[in-house]
Amino acid sequence: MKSIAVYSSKGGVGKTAAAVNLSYVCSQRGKKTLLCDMDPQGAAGFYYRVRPKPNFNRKKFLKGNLQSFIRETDYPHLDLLPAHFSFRNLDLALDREGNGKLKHIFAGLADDYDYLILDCPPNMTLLSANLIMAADRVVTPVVPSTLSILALAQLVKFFDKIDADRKKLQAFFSMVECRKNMHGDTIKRFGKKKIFLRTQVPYLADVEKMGLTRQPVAVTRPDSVAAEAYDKLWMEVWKSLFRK
Amino acid sequence: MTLLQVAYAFASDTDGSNLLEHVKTIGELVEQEVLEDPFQYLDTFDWQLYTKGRVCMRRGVNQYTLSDFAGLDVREGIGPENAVPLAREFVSSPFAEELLSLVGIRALIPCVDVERKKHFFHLLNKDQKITLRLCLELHNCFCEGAVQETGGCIRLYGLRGYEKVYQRLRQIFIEKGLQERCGEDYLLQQALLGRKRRPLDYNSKFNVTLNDRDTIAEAARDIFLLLADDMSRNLPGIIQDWDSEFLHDFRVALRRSRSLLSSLKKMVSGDECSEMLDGLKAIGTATGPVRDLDVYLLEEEAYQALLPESLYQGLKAFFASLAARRDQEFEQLLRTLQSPEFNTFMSQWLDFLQNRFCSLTGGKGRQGCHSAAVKFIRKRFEKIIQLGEAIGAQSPDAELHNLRIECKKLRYLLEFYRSLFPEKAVDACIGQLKKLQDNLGTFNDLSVQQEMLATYRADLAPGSKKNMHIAAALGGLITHLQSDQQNVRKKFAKIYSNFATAEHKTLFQDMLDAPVVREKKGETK
Repeated sequence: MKSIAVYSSKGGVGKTAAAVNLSYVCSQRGKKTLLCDMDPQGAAGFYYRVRPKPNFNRKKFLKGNLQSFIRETDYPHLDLLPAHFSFRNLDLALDREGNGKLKHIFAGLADDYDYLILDCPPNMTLLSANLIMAADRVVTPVVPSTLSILALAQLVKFFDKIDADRKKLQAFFSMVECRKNMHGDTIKRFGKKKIFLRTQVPYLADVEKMGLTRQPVAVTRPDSVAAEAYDKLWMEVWKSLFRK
Repeated sequence: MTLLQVAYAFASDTDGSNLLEHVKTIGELVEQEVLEDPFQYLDTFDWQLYTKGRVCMRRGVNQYTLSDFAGLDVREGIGPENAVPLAREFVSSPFAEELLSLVGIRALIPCVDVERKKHFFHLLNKDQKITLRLCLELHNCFCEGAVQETGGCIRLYGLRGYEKVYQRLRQIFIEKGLQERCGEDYLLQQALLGRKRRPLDYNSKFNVTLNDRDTIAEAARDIFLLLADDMSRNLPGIIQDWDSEFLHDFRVALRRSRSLLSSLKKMVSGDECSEMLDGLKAIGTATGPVRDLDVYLLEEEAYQALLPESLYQGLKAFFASLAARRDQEFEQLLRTLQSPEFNTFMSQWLDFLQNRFCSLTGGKGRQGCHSAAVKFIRKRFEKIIQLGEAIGAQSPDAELHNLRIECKKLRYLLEFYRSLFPEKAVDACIGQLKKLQDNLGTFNDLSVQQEMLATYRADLAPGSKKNMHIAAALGGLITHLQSDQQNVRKKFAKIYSNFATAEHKTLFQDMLDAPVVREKKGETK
């Protein structure tokens, strides 16, 4: 099982949209996929209309018996582990467990799934460190702006601080608006850096409408620019997983 | 990743809409699509697929599906368009290989045409999330132009994480008295209700349960009638030439009948028994050439494996001529089997068995079947030991041939009367005998094959290049077969001594001395 964490310390950068759509694309390619919603706001679960089971909470999650709380989405090969509100306190518990706890928990799913996609909460805490350590790839959406680039630089430092492998960090430009000069300039200046994937996800109404349709864009608008962008993004990430 | 699946059958007096009403009590039911799914069930005459828990379906003219009874493990492939296809006629593919491994040389015979109408539904919760998938199926079967409604079923596909909905609906259906099963096997059985064929209604393995209180004449008559039934059931398959095994099974039943009648010949007064034996023999003679050629034609690949590539051309020409000869012989066989003489004889044979056989057997025929079977088997076993002991390294092949015939007769006796003896004991004795028969049978086959090939080679007209190739291939084959035959002969002494050990003699003795097994299981006299 390969695991991909979609992570950013900033909120509203298209992180959950990326996790939801990447997991859908992955499953559509016939791979057994689990989307794990680690953000206590539960947006990924919302998009897939999946609520957590009533008896699910942070404690149960940390016990590692995830099988009974995973739920099937409406789409073949795609399951979801919904977040619970009590996940907001995961840091407290992880404080006692160290950075390898989540890696150990997710290892229990290795026989059931080909890909694990983690939708991470926007912060830079012990939970983030655990998620980064657990993942084979950390994909981070970057809105093309100065502050986002600074946040990316901070993230690289964070990787060093927790002794994570920098090579597994991949960024992509998200919510790109061509008409904005700053977006164009930022992409021009940083887009060729090794850390950036070639695919850019534009700022699109179809992605925003996911909040209304509660479905991946490729379901509601299969031929849309957004659906194509996530498909390309997945292929790029996927190929990189097998590159030495 | 659906883990939960169950189906409930319902009778033809409802269209299943009442069941959907129950579903609606626990969520919003939304119809998705309706699919018409007309297909045909196929299986071999002896239900090779059904026996192995598989069903074959054909959609359109050439789209085939192999599925397990639950419909979970499904394979698909494109195949021949002819009504009764053979596995080897499928273009090489994993599907064809699997089919071949399941049915071998037997043809796939259409059993029944089914039209399945599938209505797909989603059961949604308040978030409009699917919590259960459903499929309402309505089945119509077609046979000989008539339509028969066979009811239908409702299939539930539970979703992981939403087990409660699945279980709740299951509970409702169970409370309504619905039958919790509707696999492909069930549908096939329903579709065949009231038809001539039923799953597992034919098995090439001979199986008869005798009543130990019957006389030997009555028991023999019952066996004869079963064998006659086997012959008549295989006849259409021979005439249609669906596969080679119809003729094979027909001839096995014929040989068994001849063997049994010969063993009882002395009991039956009058000339009728001899006349019947002559009639059966004539059928054996008439059906022999096609079967012999079938055996060779089935061996083509094995023969090819024995030869270097340089001789393939000759071998191919040889098999082409065999196939042509088979066609000619088959025409002759058809004429025989469709002749008034054949039909008259078969009617006479049945009439003889049903109306006169028992009365003609006289006093000897009135002895109990168990004691008579014990005598027959013991006598035959002793004869085998007598013949076997006399065979040495230098003995002529004819002695092995005689021993083979005696072994075959003993095997038939054990199969005819097996229900009168303890099952495990008979199986053990048959198992021992089979090892010896395999050796003797292979020895004989190799001898007959060499003889046939040598005769064919001798009859080849000289001068033609094609015949030269054939002669070379046949020469190569004969050399191989000779060497194989010598090896088999070398093994005979050891195999025979293993068969005739004191331990195995006791095995036979114990079986014959065992108390009679009553028709009812567990009851012994």
